[in-house]
Amino acid sequence: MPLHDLSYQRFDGARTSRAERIVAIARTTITQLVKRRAFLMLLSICWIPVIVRAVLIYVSRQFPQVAVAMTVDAQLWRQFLEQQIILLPVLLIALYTGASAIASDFASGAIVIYLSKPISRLDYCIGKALPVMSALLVVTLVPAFALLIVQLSLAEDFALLKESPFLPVSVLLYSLWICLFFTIVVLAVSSLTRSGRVAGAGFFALVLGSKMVFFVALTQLRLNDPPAFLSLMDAPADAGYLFFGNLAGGDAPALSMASMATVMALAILVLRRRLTAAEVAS
Amino acid sequence: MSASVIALRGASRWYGNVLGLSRVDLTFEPGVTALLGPNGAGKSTLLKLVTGLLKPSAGSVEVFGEPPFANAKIYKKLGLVPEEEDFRARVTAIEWLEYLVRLSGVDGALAPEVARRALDDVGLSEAAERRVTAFSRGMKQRLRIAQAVAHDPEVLVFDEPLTGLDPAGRREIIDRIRLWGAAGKTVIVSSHILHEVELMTREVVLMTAGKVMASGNIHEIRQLMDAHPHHILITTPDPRQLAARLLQEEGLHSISYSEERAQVELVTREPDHFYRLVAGFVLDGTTTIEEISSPDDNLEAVFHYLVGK
Repeated sequence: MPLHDLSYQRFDGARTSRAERIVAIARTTITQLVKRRAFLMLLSICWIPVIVRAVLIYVSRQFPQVAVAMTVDAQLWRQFLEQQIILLPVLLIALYTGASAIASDFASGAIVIYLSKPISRLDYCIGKALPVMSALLVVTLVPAFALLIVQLSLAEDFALLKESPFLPVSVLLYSLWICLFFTIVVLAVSSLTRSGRVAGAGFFALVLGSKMVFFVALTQLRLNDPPAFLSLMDAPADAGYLFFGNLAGGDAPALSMASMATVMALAILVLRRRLTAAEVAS
Repeated sequence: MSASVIALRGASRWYGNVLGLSRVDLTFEPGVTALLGPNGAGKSTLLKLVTGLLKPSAGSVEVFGEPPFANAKIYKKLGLVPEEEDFRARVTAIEWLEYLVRLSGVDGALAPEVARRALDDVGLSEAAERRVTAFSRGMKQRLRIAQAVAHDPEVLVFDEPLTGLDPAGRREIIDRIRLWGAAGKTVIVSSHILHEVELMTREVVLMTAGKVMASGNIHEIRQLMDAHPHHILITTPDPRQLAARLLQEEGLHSISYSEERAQVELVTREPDHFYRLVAGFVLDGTTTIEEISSPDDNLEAVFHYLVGK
């Protein structure tokens, strides 16, 4: 073992801002994610519905007789984002990027090192949430805007935007809302265990199981199907009607929004409790 | 505001119904202080309170006059080497360290240089490009130390820093810890390897069952322990004659000698008196002394007497 210079070395360089430290956490996680082939493959698979939609838009423009069967209006983007939830891309990406985000730090003990650095628990959560959120936006916001560009480039006019001037804003806000929702929920579940697999199973069970539980319970009471706001999967889909200004179309969009907000508040409480609890340091 | 770097006042911490730390009053000053005690003594709880990972259930903890819990300003001045951190990230040592250096607040442009210097400090510069998952236990421990010291904190907290290190590595880290203490940093070391702790410092905090049993200089603590008389071992060519002379003195608890080992062992509550006396015998040329030692004036004995383990 070599003997090294034992003189005392002072660091007198510049210090980073809080935001830079948050970005450091997010960037490291994102760098690791994009190095994984499985993740890139999953992202590619999640883009298949986007390609299908783009082809349909193209066909509807080229063959007017088909356009009768497929209306290209603002609701198409709501349906697309809803489809990204119902057909699982959003859930799968949230699961892959978020399930072990905090759980693995608990398991490895890295959480103790993180929390002994000059970052707050909130900074740590934001740093962990950003990669999940970014990945979710890649399968929601990015393809939705890509579809919008496809439509506008194929159309000879801006009729769609004239008819629905708030469409880009609706797409942006709805995408952010559902991504934020699933990010916070998956991170809260991740913080409850030291195993990414258990967290993943828990997240899936929570999202898919919530509908089943209420369905069974309501069937036993001889009532109708459970309202959308009771399901963690249906509520985000139902909330879309509110963002796209079609209040009559959904089940109970406002209630679904309230339900999602409540779940997010609970998830934040769980995160807060877990990250300040004694277990963090054990 | 407290003048001490770290001050605990009546600090207690419960984990549900379990008491982790009970009404601890303690201060830490620049230099190396060892935290000693058996498992469950409360050492880790104390370290976590000091490093702001836990909040005291009662009482207060202050670092540089401020509560450390969730206090990012204080964390800039702290470096923690946790007992265990199982590296799982598929990154190289330099990547991992650069990342943590950035989290510590070091500017991104300077982070590579600071990280390299820290790796060099702990003797890992040659392994900088290797993946941390392939590191040996000792190398991981060095890496943990590197991330704690890289941003030049004023307070360093080591939880079992010598775990997994080979003898040469232990020696090197002990030298490092002494150097950091001598450089004016406040260094707290939790360890159960008593003889190695003695190489780092004479300032100790002895804990058991969540309470501080004694704190201060090892020798001074030993002096205060009236319940346990001091043993003095003297090697001399004529142990019988020396034993006979010492027997005349007051303050002697017991005395025995062995012709075979050429040794006299005396037990007294006034060790300083007998040291002076024996020195006088040597000076007046009436007795030849080859060696004099006090086998229980050390950390091991103090620990054993106080903690009973």
